[in-house]
Amino acid sequence: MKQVFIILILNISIISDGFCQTYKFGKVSKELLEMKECPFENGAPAMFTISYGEYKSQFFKSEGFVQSFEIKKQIKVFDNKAKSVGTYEYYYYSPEKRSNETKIIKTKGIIYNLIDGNIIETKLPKENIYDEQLTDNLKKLTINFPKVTENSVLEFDIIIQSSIFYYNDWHIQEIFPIAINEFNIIYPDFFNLRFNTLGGIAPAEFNEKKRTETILFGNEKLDIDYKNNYFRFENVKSYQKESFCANESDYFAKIENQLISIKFPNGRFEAISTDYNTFTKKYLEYDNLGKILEQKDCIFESNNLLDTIKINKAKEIYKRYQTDIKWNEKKSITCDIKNKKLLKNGTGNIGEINLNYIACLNQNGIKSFPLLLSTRGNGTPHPFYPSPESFNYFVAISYIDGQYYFSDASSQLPFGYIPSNAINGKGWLLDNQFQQWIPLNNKFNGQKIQQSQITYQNNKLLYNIIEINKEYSAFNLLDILNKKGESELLKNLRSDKYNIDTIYIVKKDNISLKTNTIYSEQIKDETMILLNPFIDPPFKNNPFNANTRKANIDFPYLQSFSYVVFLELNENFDYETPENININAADDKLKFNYNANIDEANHKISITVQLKVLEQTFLAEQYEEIKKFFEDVVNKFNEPLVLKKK
Amino acid sequence: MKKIIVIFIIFLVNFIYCQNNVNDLPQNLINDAEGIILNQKETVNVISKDEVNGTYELEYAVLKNCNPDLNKLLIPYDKFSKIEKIEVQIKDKNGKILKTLKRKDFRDLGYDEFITDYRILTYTIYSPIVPLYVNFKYKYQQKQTFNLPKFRPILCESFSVLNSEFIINNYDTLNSIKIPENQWGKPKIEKLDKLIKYSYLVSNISTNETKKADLKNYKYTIRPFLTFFQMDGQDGNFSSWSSFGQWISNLNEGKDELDEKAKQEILSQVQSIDDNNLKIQKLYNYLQNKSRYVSIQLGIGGYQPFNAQYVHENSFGDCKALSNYMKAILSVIGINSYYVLIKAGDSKIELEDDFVQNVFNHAILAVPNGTDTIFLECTASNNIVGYQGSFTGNRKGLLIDGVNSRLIKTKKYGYEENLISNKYSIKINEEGESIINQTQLLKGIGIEYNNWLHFKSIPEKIFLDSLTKLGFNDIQDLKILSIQDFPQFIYPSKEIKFEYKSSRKIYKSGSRIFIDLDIENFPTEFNRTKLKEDNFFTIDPGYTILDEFEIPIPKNCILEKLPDNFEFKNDLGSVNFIGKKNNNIISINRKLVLKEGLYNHLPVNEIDNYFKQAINFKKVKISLICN
Repeated sequence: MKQVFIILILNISIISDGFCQTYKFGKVSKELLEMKECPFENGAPAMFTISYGEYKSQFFKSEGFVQSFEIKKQIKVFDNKAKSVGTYEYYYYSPEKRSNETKIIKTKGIIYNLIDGNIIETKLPKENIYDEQLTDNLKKLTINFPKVTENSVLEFDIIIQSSIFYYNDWHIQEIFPIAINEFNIIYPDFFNLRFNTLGGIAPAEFNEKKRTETILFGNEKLDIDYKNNYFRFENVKSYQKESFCANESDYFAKIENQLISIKFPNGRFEAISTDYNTFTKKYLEYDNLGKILEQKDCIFESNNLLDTIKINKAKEIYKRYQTDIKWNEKKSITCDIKNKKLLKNGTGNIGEINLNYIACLNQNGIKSFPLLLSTRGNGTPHPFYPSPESFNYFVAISYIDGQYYFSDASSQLPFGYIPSNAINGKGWLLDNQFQQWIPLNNKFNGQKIQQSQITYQNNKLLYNIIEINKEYSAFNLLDILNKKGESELLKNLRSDKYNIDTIYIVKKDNISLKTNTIYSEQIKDETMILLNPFIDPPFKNNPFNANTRKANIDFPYLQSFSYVVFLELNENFDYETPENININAADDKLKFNYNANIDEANHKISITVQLKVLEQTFLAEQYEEIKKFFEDVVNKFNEPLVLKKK
Repeated sequence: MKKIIVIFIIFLVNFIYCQNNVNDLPQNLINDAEGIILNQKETVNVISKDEVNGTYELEYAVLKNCNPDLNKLLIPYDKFSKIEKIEVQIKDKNGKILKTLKRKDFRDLGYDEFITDYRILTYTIYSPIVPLYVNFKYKYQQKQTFNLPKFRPILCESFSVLNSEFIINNYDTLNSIKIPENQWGKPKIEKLDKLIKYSYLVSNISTNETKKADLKNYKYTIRPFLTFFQMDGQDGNFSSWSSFGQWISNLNEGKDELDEKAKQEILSQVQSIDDNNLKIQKLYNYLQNKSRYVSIQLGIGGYQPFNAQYVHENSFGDCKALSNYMKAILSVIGINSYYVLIKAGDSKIELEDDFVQNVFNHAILAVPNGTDTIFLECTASNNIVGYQGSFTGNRKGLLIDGVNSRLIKTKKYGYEENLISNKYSIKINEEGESIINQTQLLKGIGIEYNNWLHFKSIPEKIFLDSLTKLGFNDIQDLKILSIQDFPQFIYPSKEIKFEYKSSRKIYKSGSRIFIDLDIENFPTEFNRTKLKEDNFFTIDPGYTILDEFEIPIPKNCILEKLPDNFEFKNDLGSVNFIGKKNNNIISINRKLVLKEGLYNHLPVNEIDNYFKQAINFKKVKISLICN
């Protein structure tokens, strides 16, 4: 979301024009009403024939510059499943305290139905329009179309006008296909706006126009240049969800509108966003961001700290922040309170905790910086053009004895780790001197080690399993343990596993958890037994089931699984083990090794399995290979040992 | 889920109790507790049938660094209520005030999910300091008595309770207060000078008890009712189900009228049909095709339907509006039907004939059909006519018929009627590649298996993806060959034919082909029932799963291993497996029965044993050897 709070004292006039040749807003043909199928996406229950968005500025003598945003949509319903399109909800920025600055100046809608061969138009009744202050800053406009049915065409035109300048992203892609998608933005030349088209859909048409208009400002005439950027997309297919996709928003095609700066006609310059160098400089000058880092009132003075070794000192400061200050679950990256107040409050947002923490580290001689991040799901920040909204989190990065360490004092993780949802590509190191992208992928691991002893007695199989989860494989479990207690954790581990006889925690520390589980399974006295050696495999089903893939495949962290099974039988059986295999895929970044051995003399079987995910992100082009790899892995883990009675 | 939103006017506060020192508290209240409710007190003053005021106060201590739920202070309100004098103090263990809050500190939020005038004032407390003491209080006024404030002595399972007190001062002494049976017994009743005082005092509840409490169950909430109430100027009373129904009838009066044009349109739908049941079916489908569910709850509109004519013209409405519209539709063709209020969803309430209360959150339609009744869920665009599933089935509802309004029981499907029946035909070649054809017949609540009803309303592409992920284990290229509804009114069923592949469930390793027969997941109910085990072990609903497999053995392969037949039976149900080979075709019949009921009397190992066998039922594996 792009916003700048200004009231401009200038003027503009706008020309916006119409739609394409095929579909026309305000004119619905019988052919369209009779259309049974989206021409470019089979099975779509509805189609946007027209989706049009326009930002423009207007000058009013009394108010100065105001911005209006117009949304026009025309939707064709093919199937009853899509009747819900008759209810349209639009959320818009309108602080309750400044409610007079934003108003809806137009809400019109018409629904077209074909009845007995005649086109019947019904206007959207005023009583079907609801406008509600949902939160302090957000309003919701809801319109409910009457008479929506299979084959209806409905269209609406909404204009919201505001003196608060606010540029939303424009969606090129929606949950239904879009035949014609146009985005038009008209803005004064002194606005430096940048547009990023994301999602890999190229516009069928793009043009940039300029025009000049003379306005009367007081008694003075001013010439104002305006820019008009127009994008047109055609036959855009609907968005489809995919699994293991870290940033869905990256693949949902859209136009990001980014206001970089404003150079007012009177000469005043206001930078909103620019390149990373300027962005960094500006952020470090903010009182509620960079200036916090310069404070010298750290509550944990060096002489109060027990250890003089830098890394230990850093860990001690980290621990104290974790203990004394609780994250209030707000992700704001700015900070309005300094250390002493923060400690007094005992609570703070990400910015308040981590900025003060970084300041404290620096005050104690540990060179540390904020690392700005975008969490998984929030999208990937543009590599060259920063947008404040693309960063929603930050952690600390400390340089100690020649090595970088990450930490997040708002989390309960050990020093050196950051929450798994923050591991998302790269982070921007915010420092005038050392600014750079710091890669986060491939730096964090999760490991599971499982050792099973399987014995066979009186038609009963007993599984004694020792499992060690380390680092990111353990953190979720440790979090439950710390927050909810042991019984809740064991309940979680037991869920859906009816064969567990006992389970208990053998050992735990801040990065690992060791459990012991005993299962038993009664088996029939049959001449041939298919024995399942892996009760709890890493993947029960292939996570990649779809035939094709558009998004890159993102694992949350690097993963390794080691399974060792010892099976003790007796002389009454002949044994067959699955074929040993060794599979490497995706440039050897996925490795799987399955090795079973029979010790016939002692009636023992041992199986050693290793699965490694050595890369966090794989390209969509590698999907076929990855899918096949995981299918083989899941099949192998599921393959039984064959025991035949002699 | 479509619900009437019941107005919850809640909690209010008056004064601050002395600070309790945690060390002075009984040890049994501190052990294992994440926090303790030191004092919760609500005083409700019923002045008259259109005026109520009250105070709510809550003092609690957070003992461990957790439980954000209780740290979220919530005050719902609506156009009939006014919240005043909110005060919050947050203190440390020495009684030092860390923070004070007023109304301006609370966020005032609307509901995002539907159009309504209900709002919530909310504030979330975050603090790492323990113990932490919170004093929260406010006053309120409300201008209706249809919904009096409700009180929960236990607020969450991880907090013990030192004292929870609920007082209702009824100044309208000729108008009696009724309180349904609840976990906390009967109130103490005192007749004072100008009022009758009803009070509950709940003390010393440890987390051993709070964790066993089923807090979602209505019995844990004290819900007073005023016999003669008023809502938005409309007088009503809870003297009897008949009188309460009469009030609803009055609200609905005249709402079912349709103009001549609408009537003609409806008549044209059924002009060539003679059979009444077929007419109902046709008109139910007409409603489903024509309308959509939109929730709008404004003022008394939370209880009163839109005019049928409005719904006809706009083609949308909530449960009340759509049920009322369907009633009007049927009335056009001379079929009598009744609007029914019901408490929908998982948390059922046992309504009693002699205790009248408003617990309803949904409306459906009842159509008398000989000796039986067809219930119509008018908000579901995918229901088969007459299907009454787990959302509204097997419970009492209030049939609205003026002075003849009465409680009625909705349809219950038993485990024999709740059927998931699958016929699999699996064709495998020597390489282990397979094509599976499956015919699935769903009856009773079996129709809800894999959220079929829900899925049917989403685009097919998304539906197939969802089904591939949720319903089956590891299948590919899923195609739906056909879906057919069998609308037999009381016992409708559905048949779906699929075709798919599975290189995971049927796979070759060396010279062996393994066939896993756990192709489909258990119904979600299977896991849900197990979760209840800690408190009370209930199976609801019960069901039957029938699987038949036909697997021709591929050329150059022989059957190596077919599991022996097995049978298991106990009080919960039974599990059977019969496999055989005939003419080079493997045939398997298996049946799982899980009976509905309360099984607290069964030893845990009996329950576990059943579920272990049920898992064995699913995970059967066959092996073939091929040249």
